[in-house]
Amino acid sequence: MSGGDRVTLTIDGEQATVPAGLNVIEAARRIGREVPHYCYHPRLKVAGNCRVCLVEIEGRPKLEIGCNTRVAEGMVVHTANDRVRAARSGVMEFLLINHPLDCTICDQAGECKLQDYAVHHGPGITRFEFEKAHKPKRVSWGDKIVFDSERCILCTRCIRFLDEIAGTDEVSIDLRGEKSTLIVKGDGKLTSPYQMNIIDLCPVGALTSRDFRFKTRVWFMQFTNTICTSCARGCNVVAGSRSDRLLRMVPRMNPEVNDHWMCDHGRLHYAFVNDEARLATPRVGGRPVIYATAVDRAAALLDEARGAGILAVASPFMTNEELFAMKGILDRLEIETRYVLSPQGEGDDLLQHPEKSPNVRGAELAGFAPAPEDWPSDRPWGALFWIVPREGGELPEALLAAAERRILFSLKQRAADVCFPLSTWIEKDGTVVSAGPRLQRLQRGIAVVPGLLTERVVLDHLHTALDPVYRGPETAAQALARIAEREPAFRGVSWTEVGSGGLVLRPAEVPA
Amino acid sequence: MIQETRIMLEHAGDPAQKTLAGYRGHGGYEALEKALRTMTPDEVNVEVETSGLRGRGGAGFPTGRKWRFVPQTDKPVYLAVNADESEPGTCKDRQIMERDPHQLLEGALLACYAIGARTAYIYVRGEYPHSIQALEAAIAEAREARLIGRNILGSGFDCDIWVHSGAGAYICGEETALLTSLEGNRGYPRIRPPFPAVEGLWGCPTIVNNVETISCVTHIIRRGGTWFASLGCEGSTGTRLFCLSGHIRNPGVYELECGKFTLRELLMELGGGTKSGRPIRGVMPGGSSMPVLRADELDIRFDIDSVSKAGSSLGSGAIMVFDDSVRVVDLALNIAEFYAHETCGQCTPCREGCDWVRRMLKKFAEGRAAPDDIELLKDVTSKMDGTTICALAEALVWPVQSYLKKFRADFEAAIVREAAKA
Repeated sequence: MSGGDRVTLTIDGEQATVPAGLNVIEAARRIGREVPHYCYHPRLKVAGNCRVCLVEIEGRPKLEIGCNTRVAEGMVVHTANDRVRAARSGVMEFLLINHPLDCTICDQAGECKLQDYAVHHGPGITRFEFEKAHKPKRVSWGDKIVFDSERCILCTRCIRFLDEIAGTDEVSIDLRGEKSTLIVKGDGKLTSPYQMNIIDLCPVGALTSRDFRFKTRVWFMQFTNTICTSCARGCNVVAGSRSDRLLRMVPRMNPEVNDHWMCDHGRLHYAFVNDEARLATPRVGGRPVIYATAVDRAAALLDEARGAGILAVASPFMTNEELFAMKGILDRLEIETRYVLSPQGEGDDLLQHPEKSPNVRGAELAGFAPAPEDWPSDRPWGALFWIVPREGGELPEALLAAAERRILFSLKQRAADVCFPLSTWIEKDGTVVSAGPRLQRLQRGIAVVPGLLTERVVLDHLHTALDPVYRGPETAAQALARIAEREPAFRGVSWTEVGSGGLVLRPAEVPA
Repeated sequence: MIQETRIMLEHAGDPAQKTLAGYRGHGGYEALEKALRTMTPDEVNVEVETSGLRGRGGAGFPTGRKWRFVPQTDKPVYLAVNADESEPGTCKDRQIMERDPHQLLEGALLACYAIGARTAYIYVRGEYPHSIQALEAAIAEAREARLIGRNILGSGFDCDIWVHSGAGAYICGEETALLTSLEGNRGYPRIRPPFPAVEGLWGCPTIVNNVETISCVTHIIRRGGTWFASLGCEGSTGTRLFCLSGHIRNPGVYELECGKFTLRELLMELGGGTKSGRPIRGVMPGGSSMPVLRADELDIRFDIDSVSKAGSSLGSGAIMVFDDSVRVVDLALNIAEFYAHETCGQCTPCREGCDWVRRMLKKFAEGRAAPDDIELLKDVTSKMDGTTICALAEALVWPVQSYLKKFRADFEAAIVREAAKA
């Protein structure tokens, strides 16, 4: 028995007690049954046009669509009896009669709902003897998306996303009947900074990404659950890679952060990861050296410069574990001038945060002050110890010139006494404090540069070089455990508890 | 001999009936005055319930009961009059709109009064410019006479009526597509629930009624629900406009009391039999979307329930007759071409299925069908039946299935036999 805000119904002979207000698709999902669907999406208004989710509700003469049927007390639902299966197979046949058989060259193959459902729910043969419908192909929807109307099943997810979520209402349907085709209003080019989400929403291969198309078959890729580091939102993503090259990022559903979406900027902002011109080995005086040589040299220079003063500038792209490793060195050397650069930009009401880096909050928790507007350039520092942000943070030329010694971590080679190569977020494990404040986990997916050591490892070596009794943690998880022991804001957190979805930190102890 | 009972078309022959003066000369707007002065909205609704009036658009739903579906609400309530008369063979509503438009306006005002609406829209198909002109002229006159607008007849009742032109899509006669189109969007039918009476135009409660239905309301209030119920027969009260066309000697629109005659009597006595003198082969009794009746099935009483019992429907009142010169495969193809052209394309089975059926029927019409094609056609049409958002798929499927069942020999004759090929 159930009451109030829950109802009990029977789905395929199994009793299920679910929240009132759910539709049949969601109710079935709660008990592990999939009612196949194309047009339905939990975050979009119900369209009811694909007809794949037809189910039988006892007492109702016609089959009903699961997406638009709310559960009711005592309802008896059949999602897979003969009648439902026959109807579903019929709908699949209709969807396939005019669909091109071009899976072999279609980017969606391997993650295509039309393929999946054709196998599981389709008739398995074709009875359609006529020439398939011809519609526009390779239609440019701007610089990000290519549209193939023959593959389109007109589920209208893209239309609804742009209207209901992105708010730009840019796509519509032109013509009628079996000639129906999607069009972009106006000049035919999409403008939404969130437009690429419609590629993910498209259940078939009608919308493909210019950036990703034809790069690989998806089944050759490896997938890593990590987060986007282009702004402080920290959208949860799945990074797809092959042969240690990052090829694509797609959003990973997290209702507390980014829901099902991410912005195009974050999605496309990864070319620097695969850049052949990245600094690959440490340099001393511009010459490539092994890590041990560079670490020893950096330690010696820092030790020498202590008297004349050292300016330490962290990067907001560093993980908490890296920031606290750097803090350990600065504490050891008793350096108090610690700053972090924080690139800023435009934000919006959906996901984009004005802080264009993932971890300014973590840097501040580790004791790095926001960089001043005007650096005191009159002071000739004994050394500059700077983790150069991968983008969006520069120090004044005068300040750089006035520093007697420069120990840097940088994506590209820079004039420095010691320059270590920077690792990118997809090459390391670690945590960041996103807006929220929310502790989220980066996960190592690939190793673009052979032999590259992450900043945390290099900084710990440097620490050991300055203090022979120091031993750094072996892993990011252990590093986080150490932080959790000492820092109130992180009290009680652990690597496994953060998980792939993150957790909320106590706001009182974290800078907003 | 069948006699016409002219109520809605009583003054259709009088050119002055189009004018307000002419209409008032025949008792026009007395029903409105009576309702506004002496009846509550509920009493108007009760009168319509008493009359037994059923919708004249095709589905035949009891009008008074439909009006009761409007919920108690703070939102505005709308009346949408469906004048998108586009079912092939149907030409009755235009007789009302072009010859006696005020009875429609009066009925619309009465309906608005009953359901609590302050705005009515008349959605007229774009191919009816004369209807639109006649309605606009009538509305202008009525507005001038303060029969439309604020404080009608000093009763405190405000109501406005607007004419909206469609743009040539059959689907916009489907009530929810009509509402979507009226809102300025693509004419796509909507999924139900919610039903229009609860969430219609702009998300507000909306009653959608056919032109003829609303015109009946005028006469029901003028002369009483009991009077209306005394006409016709049980289940099909009042009079009804029938549009007789096809191979018939006397085509036209006839206003008749249902239940007083059989279909054959109607065709032979009023229709005068076929124009060619050849035997009738079949009849579409309610528009092209309804299952066909064969010549041996015409001795049924012609009312909603009897025709329904015979496996077809009175539909929109369009009776189309064909004689034995017609090849049914050609007829089926012609119908399929219409629906394949008019499917809106929103939902899968109809978008894909209508054209597939059309192409299969083309094979039959061209005499190049394969032996399996009859079963295939049956199976494909069965997969379109009951699986779509609106009834357009069924408007193709039902007649085609009925032709396959009732004129199977025509289809078999169109099959190329292997032996014949060799």
